[in-house]
Amino acid sequence: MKKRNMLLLTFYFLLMAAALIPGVAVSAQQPTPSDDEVNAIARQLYCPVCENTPLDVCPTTACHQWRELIRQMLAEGKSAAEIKQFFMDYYGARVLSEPPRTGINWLVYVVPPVAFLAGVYMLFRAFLTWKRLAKESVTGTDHSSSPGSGSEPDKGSRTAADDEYAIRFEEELRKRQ
Amino acid sequence: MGKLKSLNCPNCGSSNLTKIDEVSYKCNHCESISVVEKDPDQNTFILVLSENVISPESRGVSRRSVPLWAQIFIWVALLGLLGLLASMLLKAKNPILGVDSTVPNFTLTLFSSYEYNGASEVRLSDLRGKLVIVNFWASWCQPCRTEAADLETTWQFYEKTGQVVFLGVDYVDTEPEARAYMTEFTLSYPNGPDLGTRISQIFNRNLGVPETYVIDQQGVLRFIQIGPFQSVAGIQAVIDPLLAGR
Amino acid sequence: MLAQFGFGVFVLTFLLALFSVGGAVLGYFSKSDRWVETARRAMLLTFPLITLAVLTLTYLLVTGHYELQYVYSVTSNDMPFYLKITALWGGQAGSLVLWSWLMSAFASAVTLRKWERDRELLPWVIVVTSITLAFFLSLSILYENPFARWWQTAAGEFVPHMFAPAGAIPVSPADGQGLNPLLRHPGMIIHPPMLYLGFVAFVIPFAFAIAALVTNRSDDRWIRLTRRWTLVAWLFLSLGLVLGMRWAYDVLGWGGYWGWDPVEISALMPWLTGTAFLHSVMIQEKRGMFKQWNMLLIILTYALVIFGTFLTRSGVLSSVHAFAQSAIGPMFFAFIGITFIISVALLIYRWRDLRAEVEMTSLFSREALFLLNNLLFMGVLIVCFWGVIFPLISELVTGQKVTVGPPFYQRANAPLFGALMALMGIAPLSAWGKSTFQTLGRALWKPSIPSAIVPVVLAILGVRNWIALVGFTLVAFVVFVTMFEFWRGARVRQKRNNENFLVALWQLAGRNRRRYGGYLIHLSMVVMAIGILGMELYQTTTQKTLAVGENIQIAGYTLRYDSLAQFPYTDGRIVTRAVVSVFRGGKYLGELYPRYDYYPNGQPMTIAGVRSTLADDLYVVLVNWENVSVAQAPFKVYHNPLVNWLWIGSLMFVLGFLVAAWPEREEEEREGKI
Repeated sequence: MKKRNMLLLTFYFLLMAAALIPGVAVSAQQPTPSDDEVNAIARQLYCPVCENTPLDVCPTTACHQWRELIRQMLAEGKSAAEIKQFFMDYYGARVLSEPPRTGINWLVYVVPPVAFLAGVYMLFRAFLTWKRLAKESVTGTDHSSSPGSGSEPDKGSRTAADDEYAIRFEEELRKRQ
Repeated sequence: MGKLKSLNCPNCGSSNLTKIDEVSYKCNHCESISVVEKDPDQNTFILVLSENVISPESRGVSRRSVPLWAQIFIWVALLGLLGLLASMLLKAKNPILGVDSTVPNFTLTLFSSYEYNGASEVRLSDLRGKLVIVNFWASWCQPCRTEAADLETTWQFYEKTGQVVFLGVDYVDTEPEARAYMTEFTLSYPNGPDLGTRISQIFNRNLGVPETYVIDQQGVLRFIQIGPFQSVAGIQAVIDPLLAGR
Repeated sequence: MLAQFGFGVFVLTFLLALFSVGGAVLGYFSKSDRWVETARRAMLLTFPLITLAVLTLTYLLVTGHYELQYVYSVTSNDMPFYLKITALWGGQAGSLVLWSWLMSAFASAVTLRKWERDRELLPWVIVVTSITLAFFLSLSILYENPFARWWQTAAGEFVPHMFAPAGAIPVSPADGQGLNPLLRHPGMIIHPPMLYLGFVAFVIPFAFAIAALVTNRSDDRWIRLTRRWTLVAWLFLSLGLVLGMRWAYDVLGWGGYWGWDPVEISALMPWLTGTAFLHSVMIQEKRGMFKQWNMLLIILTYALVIFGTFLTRSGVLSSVHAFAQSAIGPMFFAFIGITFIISVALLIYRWRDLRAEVEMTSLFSREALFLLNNLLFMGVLIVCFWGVIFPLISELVTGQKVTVGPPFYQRANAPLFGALMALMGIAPLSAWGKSTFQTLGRALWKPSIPSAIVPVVLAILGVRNWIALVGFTLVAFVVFVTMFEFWRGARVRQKRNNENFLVALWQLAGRNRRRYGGYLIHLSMVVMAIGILGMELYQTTTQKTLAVGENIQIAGYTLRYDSLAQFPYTDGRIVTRAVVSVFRGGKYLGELYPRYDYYPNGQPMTIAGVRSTLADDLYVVLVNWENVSVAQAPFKVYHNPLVNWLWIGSLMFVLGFLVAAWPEREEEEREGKI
């Protein structure tokens, strides 16, 4: 395994060395459409063979081929949407950076907002309940026995609940000492 | 017991407090009101914010346990998640199709000039009665090249019998390069792209190339080759027993 | 021989951990302190034992015992010494060992404390930590044994095995494969241990929570006991995430720091619940509310830690981070199933006993805003969780793989993060308990005015992107509110004590570290937000193949390709390095050296040349997947505005954390006002 890699590497090195001999090129040949135009579309697509790698930064040979394919399609005058559609038909939905909005895939877009709104609703309902309870105890309709809880927080409120708390506290202390 | 040590507002930390009565202070900074309490941690007294301290019982609120619907929901969600993970685990471990399972029907669209009997697509169900060799390959795949010529030779060997069909499935590839590859190895059996990776996902979740699947006359998967075949004889050794009906 | 020794120690430790579980359970039910004490000592003993095994493994790594499969797979002769040590966590087997080691270190540290007053919690803390430890040890022993060695079977195959398979002969390779080049980076050396530290430290508060549930102690003692653990866990998890981002930025060569990769997200998820937990425990401490919620949060955090580890290591997901497919999946799955079901069942069973001591009275009180903060964090969690899980569901139902990528997360999370920033500004100005719309409004209007100027100024400067306008306004709002809070507090002290303003400021933060440390952390978060906004909204990129002397333009910069050189490096890699001159407005700014390295195992590494300033980063990649030659070389250039603020923010974060968590003087602690 290792040996083969070393061989490959040596081969590659030789190739590079050959390439490194200064050439005569004065200016680099710019492809049309330009790399930027290709990358603009490639970055919206994912490599179909390597997982979670956008096509514009994917170093494999296959990805290189796909970028060239995009270039060719652009040269043929295809729009970005058409190219994306082609890639999806050809290589499956996983090349798109988001699931297409069809069928079961709607779930991916619907579930989080619904769950979040359900959370908001539950929280809001809980608030309303707490508020109602607080109001009830202020007006003291049912619990005139627990005096002045709402409006005078300084004195009156420290009765029933506090006794309960104090009793429990003393208990805890006894248990521990 | 202990004594009150700090005199800072527990809300804002300010020490600018006004005494209201025996136990209560008002913060001149944030206007909150604090009362002296025993610290449950230590034997000291600390300032805590005074609020509407109302015990739930005193207001007739019962201690509620989790409502039944919520319990059902939680358990269903939890078990659903575990079920999902379990099934993915099974899938990750095994190819989806095992040997001796029936292969679901699929349709392979074919490259022009690589048609099957002149048709531009071929369905697996149309090939009942024949031995079908499905070979996945790609032009960017180096190991595929080692077996391509052997596959073509083997195909030519069996073509005349009419009992064997080779299907080349070009896995996530680009057409110009794929055509160059087919020309290079002068492939003559039907070849087509794996559109939307639908065919490869029937066979194996984590398909790599090359992989070859042999389907018998009844549409049952009989042999799986992961990686390239080493020789023509190697391929024949797989095909011959199946042709002989064993 | 050493390998057998290490393995033997592992088995012994595993048995010891199981024994301590049994002892603790027995001790609890038979009310026998002796058994609990025995269990505690067994637990304490695991740490020196695993340390011994870790040292053994490290020695084997450093001395190049390539007959061991793990050593062979992560080290090689040409690797520098420090990398051989870090190779300890460079592979699946080793990182599991690190997990166990940290687990036993933390469990020992926590069982060492004085337990007098919390004796009843002790057995269950031991049970939870020991079970977790035993589980990870069993993975190492049964599936991912770092001490397994190479054998050649009679059939000629090479197999890793602890003991000789029948008819096999031992083989000893002369050199190893070496560490994955991607992992040979300072960020990578500390990123995984930081994450593991964070993960493992969260087990401790979880253990106490479970202990409190089992023993039905509904007070907040477990929270007070584990407050520092939670903070430490959170710090390390945060640092682990930030370092991972930095590593991705430096090494992966795609011009970004966060790709919304499933594995990144699985590390982010426990951070989200952990952060929510950090906020909501304050409400329980101060007001006795949300006990059920806090329990739920810490259980969720633990579950997500385990779940994330499972996702990364079981082969269910594939991703750049994923460890090679491994046999640990089923065992991990069983552990997840059992722990989830037991924790949830326990919580539901005790739900009614965890009622609040007081109820909420105002929508504008601080506890209400904290609850809102929790809701938003849960929202982000739902988005992340669903995004990670959905491809699995889709594949199961339709057989089609789909990708849930950055656009999904960005769109869904951006408003939630925005709302969180707004809350960061509002919450510090609210009061506990009774706070009305009026009191809150009165506190808010002052810092609101300067923040309202920000969008106007930005709009005049030509910023038209409304997300940027909203984002930077929120940043300014949080900054002003926080400064206002510091100023107000210091002014009060200054007036009262006749102190110098700076002294007052210092004293203020010192007297209430948790609060002002928290503010500093808020500030650091918005500073990081500046960097994130700059990157997300204003990053530009261009790619071009240049001949020597040719230019590439981006965002007002001109880059000139000067030369290319190729040379071998001492550790066997071959470096290809370009020299690029950077100009702006005709002025020469310096040279950049984008390069890529080919390692002997054939893996390329792309190292960008980066010019980093407070305003922007110029990030140049030599595109090694196109044809590179001296005559012409392809470059990909990214212009990353403001990205440095992300790293500055993370440094501020550490500072804020130190302020918040620095141990108080004994006296102050006794007053219970940390």
